[in-house]
Amino acid sequence: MSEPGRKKRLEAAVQAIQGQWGAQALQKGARPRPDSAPVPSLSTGLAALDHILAIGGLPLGHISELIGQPTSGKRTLALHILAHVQERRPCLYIDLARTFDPAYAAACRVNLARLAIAAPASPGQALDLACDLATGGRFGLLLFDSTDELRQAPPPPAAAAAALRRLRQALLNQPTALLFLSLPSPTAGPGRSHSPPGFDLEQAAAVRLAVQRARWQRDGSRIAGYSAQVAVLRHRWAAPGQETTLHVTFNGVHLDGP
Amino acid sequence: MSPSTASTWTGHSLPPRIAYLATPHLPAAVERRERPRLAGKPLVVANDALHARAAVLDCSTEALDAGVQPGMALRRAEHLCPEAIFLPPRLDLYRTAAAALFELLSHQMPAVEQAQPGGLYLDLRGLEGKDAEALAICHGQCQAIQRQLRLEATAGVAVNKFSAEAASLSIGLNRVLVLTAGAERAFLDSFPVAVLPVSGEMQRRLQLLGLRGLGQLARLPPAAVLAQFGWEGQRAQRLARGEDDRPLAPGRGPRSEEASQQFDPPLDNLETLLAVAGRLTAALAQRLDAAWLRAGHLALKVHCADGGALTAERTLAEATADAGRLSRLAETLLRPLPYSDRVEALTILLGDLSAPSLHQLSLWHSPQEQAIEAHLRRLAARYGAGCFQRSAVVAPEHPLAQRRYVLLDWQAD
Repeated sequence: MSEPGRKKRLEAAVQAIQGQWGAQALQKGARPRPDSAPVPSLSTGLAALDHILAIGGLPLGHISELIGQPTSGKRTLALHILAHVQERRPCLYIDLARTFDPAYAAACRVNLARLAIAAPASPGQALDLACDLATGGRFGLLLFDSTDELRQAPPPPAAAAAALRRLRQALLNQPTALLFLSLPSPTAGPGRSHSPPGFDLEQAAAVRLAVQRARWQRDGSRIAGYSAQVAVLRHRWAAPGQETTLHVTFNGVHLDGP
Repeated sequence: MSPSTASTWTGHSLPPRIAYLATPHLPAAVERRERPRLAGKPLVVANDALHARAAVLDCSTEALDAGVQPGMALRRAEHLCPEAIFLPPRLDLYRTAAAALFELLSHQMPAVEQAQPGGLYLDLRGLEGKDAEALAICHGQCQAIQRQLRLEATAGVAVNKFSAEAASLSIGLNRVLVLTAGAERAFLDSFPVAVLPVSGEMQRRLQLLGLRGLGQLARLPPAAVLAQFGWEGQRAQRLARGEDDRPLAPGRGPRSEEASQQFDPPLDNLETLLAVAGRLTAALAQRLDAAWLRAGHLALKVHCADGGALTAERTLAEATADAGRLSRLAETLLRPLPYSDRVEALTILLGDLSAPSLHQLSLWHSPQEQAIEAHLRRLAARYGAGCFQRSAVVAPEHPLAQRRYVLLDWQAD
């Protein structure tokens, strides 16, 4: 078929669809401009990770989740993101797990002088605190470490669900990203987080990332670092399933993209 | 008024060879020169006075006496000195005055290095053991500056840059202090560590460890300082001991540093572009820091895929090598650019490089930090005093993990 004929038939088909379903049913795609992402985001400082996140980083005003086994590189990645965000915005670390290691954070280039650490006394208090901290949008990033600790004294499912709703409401339209660190559930299968009943982050989080250690990097007989695979499990504004590999080296803790 | 008073700090016998000549509070002095009716009145030059986060760029001695300090939030300065006259900055005028000062001294002295706008190192080699002549020469220069530029200067003479600068800052206008060779360490002993040109984190750690004066730092074993603070601490201790081997580099020196990044395929995400700009500025800041330089000007150029190029630049009110500050400035410049297509390359250039000068670090937080502190204080009242903490690494190499850092209450000094 000739080019003009094909174009004419295409236009007719488009008109027919729009006539039946409305003008919004079929629209011409346009290359997104740098400033026209569907949601404001916070760059992670890792170009490869920003790329698979499609919106340029973690979404502001929404909950994100980072799932990974211990030693998978989950906390290292989170600290690197925090260090990067800190260059422009204040951040806060909610240390429910009581595992925050300032020396390791400093090795990840976190500016300790400008980092407030919240040490809530109980899981319930941690959720209330996160809610209060999210209100007002004073912080660029709130890092919650971790949802697994919520299971130690789990709130009733209804209360947990209500806390999550309050959190989402507090974050709404605020220039703050809330990142939960989670362990994968040992029973529910891959990609499911180990959180208490009612605290359904799988539905509440706009972006969910899974990090998994892929292989050790050796320097002779010495282990010099490791590669970690990061996959997008859920994304509210883009297709999930994107993956990238990050390299962690122990000498001063450096994290790089592929 | 003519330079009338001079003094000599006597130690033992080696001669001075470097002078540091400065016109203190150059912006305020220039404003007063341009508007003689402001003589004797407290004067505050505000950086970006229309902005909610405006800060004091510079102030006159009358305002200083009232408690105003450069770097202070403008609102606080207004509270402390309500009778002060607040002026917007005229950076071009200040730069012209600094250039005129450099030109004047370049014609009269064999070798002059511009340390910062309004601050110059003069080479006094050949005057070994001739303190009186060095004194007379510096007096002569102060007089020439007053006569030709209508600005008042102060000068310090010593065997190295740091001591000379400290000497110049310890005396009043139209005075010259000659520091006899060998007396540097004793002279610097009573200076606060805040005058050291080191990073904010190092200043914090010095305060945390109770090191308030240069004398305290100087008396520590060098190996312990190196283990605790690394090379930056070692350099700071050498300065505190009056040892500064930076040579005098006549002229304005290498006055720009550049870094660029190509994107293949071209970039269409602003946040990624900002992240790259952050990395480039961090790399440039590291280069400046290694060379003991500060940047007074930032320019960037963005090459688009359609062949177009976008440029933006900004002169900084205060020279800096702080990666965070440079990164934020680059972001401020990059965000509003009218991108016509995807970005193929980004170039960042830092100009007006100068050596860091002695400084009193700002003790005041930004309004944003103050708001956060107030918010955390309210939450601490609700959740318990120990709810918020901050941490500091005090011994990063200690074999016991728990000895490497301390956890402090958020509001602790």
